[in-house]
Amino acid sequence: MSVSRTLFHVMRADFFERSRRYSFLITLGLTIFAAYLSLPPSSADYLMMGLDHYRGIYNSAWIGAAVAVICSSLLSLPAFYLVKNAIERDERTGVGQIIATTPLTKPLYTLGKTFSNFVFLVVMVGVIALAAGAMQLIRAEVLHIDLWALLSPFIFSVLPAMAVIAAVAVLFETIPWLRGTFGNVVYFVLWMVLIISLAMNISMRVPLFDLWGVQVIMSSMMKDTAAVFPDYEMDSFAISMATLQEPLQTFTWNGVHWTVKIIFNRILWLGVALGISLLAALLFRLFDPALQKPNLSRDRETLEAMPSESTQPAPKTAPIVLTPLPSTHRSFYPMRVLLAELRLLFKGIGWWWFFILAGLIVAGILLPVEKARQYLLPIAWVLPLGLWSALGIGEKRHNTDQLIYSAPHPLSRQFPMVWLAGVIASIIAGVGVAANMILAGDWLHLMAWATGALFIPSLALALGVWSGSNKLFEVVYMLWWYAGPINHVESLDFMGTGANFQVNRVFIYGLLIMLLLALAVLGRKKQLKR
Amino acid sequence: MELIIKGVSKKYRRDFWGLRDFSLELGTGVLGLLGPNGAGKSTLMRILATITDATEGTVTWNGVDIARKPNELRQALGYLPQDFGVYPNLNAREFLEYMAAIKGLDGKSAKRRIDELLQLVNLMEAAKRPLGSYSGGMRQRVGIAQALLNDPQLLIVDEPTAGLDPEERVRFRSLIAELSGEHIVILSTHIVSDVEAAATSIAIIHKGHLVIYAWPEQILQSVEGKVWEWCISSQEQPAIREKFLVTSTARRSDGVHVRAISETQPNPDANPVQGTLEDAYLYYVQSAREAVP
Repeated sequence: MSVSRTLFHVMRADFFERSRRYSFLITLGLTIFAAYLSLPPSSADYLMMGLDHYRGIYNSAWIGAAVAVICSSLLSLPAFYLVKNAIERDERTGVGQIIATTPLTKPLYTLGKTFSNFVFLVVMVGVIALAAGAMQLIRAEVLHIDLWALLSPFIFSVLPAMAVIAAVAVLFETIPWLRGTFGNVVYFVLWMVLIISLAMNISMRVPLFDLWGVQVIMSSMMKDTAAVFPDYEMDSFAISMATLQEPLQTFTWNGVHWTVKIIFNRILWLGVALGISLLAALLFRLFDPALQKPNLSRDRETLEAMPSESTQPAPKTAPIVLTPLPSTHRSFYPMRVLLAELRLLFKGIGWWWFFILAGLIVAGILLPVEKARQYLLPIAWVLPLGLWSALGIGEKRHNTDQLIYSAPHPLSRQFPMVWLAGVIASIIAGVGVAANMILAGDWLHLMAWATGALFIPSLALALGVWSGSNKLFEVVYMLWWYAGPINHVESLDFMGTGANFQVNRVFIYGLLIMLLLALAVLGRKKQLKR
Repeated sequence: MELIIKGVSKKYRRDFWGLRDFSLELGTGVLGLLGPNGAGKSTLMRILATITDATEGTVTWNGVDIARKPNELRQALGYLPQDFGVYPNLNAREFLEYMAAIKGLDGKSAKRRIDELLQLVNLMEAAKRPLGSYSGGMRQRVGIAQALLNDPQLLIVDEPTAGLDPEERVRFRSLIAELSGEHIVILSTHIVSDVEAAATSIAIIHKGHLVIYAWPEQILQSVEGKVWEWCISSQEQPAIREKFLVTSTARRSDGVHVRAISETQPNPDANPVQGTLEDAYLYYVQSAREAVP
């Protein structure tokens, strides 16, 4: 079988597997909705993609470029999480072990996975491009559609960026310590660094910083805006929902002149994607189950002491003696269920995790209360991210759902304990800071702390139950955490790290917690009766 | 102790029924549930285990409708699904302790029961190894142990001996036979010999319909005088398969020994032989196929 045919079939199987899931349709729907929001009518009081209060009229060039910029920079965050499961799925389903016995080489496999990630993202980008064309007709500022002007920003800006994301997702999957929650956090940090460096270097047009192909578009827009509106302050722009401070002014922008040099610079990123994919092949250990056993190092002594199954002496056919268990011995023991859930949650965590936790608790007590609240608490409440994101998904992930759901009262007995275990994880991680607040008599922020301790596992449980995956919570939480506790966007600061925390926010978050818990219960109820 | 299944149907898609108008009344004993792939066995098991609701009909446990009050049955239920997983970071003892807590066992009873069960499924020595390092057969034994944790009055086991070695299979059969006196056991399997060894009654199911529910000897009676064996050349095989229901073949030095079911003597050389449960099962499935293609 030729290389291209092999690649095609790896991609095809993967694409069908992904696109036949409901989550694919939901993602497409959300993407189209985002495209709709990004092009507000001229009467709206906000801009999604604008230069102060200026923007181009909605012709094909502006719409194509604006949506491409938003798509390239903002979609690059969820896109990674959407495709970072190609290898994991092969491993989980056992298909990986079958693949490992075929003549398919590692480079071909990782290239195939990169290719399938890329095709998946291209389909999404294609839908967004179509939606952008439809939006031009809906907004009706210019009715003539210029296909080249509309599509060229997607082709030259967005697609190379998506190729790199597709390859990075495969790379992360081949490096064991980047496969899970830690890798998700690392990508989030990388994305933030790229966003910040983009903002700082927007007009420099240094290809090294321009993975998303945004600089070339933005600098052209800025130059043309400055030419029409002399009072426009160069480098002032927004790629997010920004409220208009002054009346909107529009001008005609004719798009980027795609020179050979620009196109060459963009094609270089395809080479980078190829390089990353081949690097992933070097690091990939195929599907050897011996390398995937969980935490065997911790149990090495036990394992070494144990003879393997095949070397065990033949079992004696001892008489079967099972003591009857009277029904009076069966009841609900909440403490036992909670302890069992806690063991499940914490089992498998490395010693380093507890070492960092201990350090954070001690530092939380010893630091001045203000510093502990502002700087230490947000860090302490990132450490259990992997524990929270496992809430509500364990049964499905490990295929124990039929065992758990056929036990008595799964909704009223086991489920609340899952949540409570998550709350205890929050309390343990933040206990140092809480103790400090109590010692300082900072009761207001202690209330905020308690709100945070309840809010995080509630959010995790609701998103986990409904999405069936850890990723949605991890992305939503990290964005929320970055905007609220770190950047002090007051309404999003659920931990009360800012100085201006008000009691009414406790009530608002209290309501939100109840809403999230109600959603979680509804979701679990739905799972109980499939 | 009684489980009554009355007119139960399960519809999956607009025109696809996994189970149609299925009725049974069960008391203590072992029911062997036999049927080809996709016959509806697992659907029935999931309905009885309160994992899924029936589209039509009712299931009552000691007079209580399990769709309305599933916890009445869950208190008394031990369930081993065909396809299940375990938590890979826990060891066998920890996993069973977790399941015991979920099932509402008190600490002392749970500890004693887990010790006994680990011994029973021959996992005592491996009890401290993480489940992620277990072989398929060992995991299956953990599954069997968790199903028996709460000393269930109703034990539902779906393909329980899949992946077990012959010795473990024999142990499991003995266990099921032991339980039959005071429990209701529903055993679904493709392995007819498992049913033969343990079942006190047998239900054969095909395309969601109950084909027959009877004692093993009644089922065996149906093929009495209809099972034949004779020797043919390998060239004759396709024609024989076309004409008769062949239940087994064996190559020998003098040709191929064929075992087939026929109302009349299929060949002058054919000798009547004692029918087995496997012969009877294939006979019923074939008859059902002809009735509901």
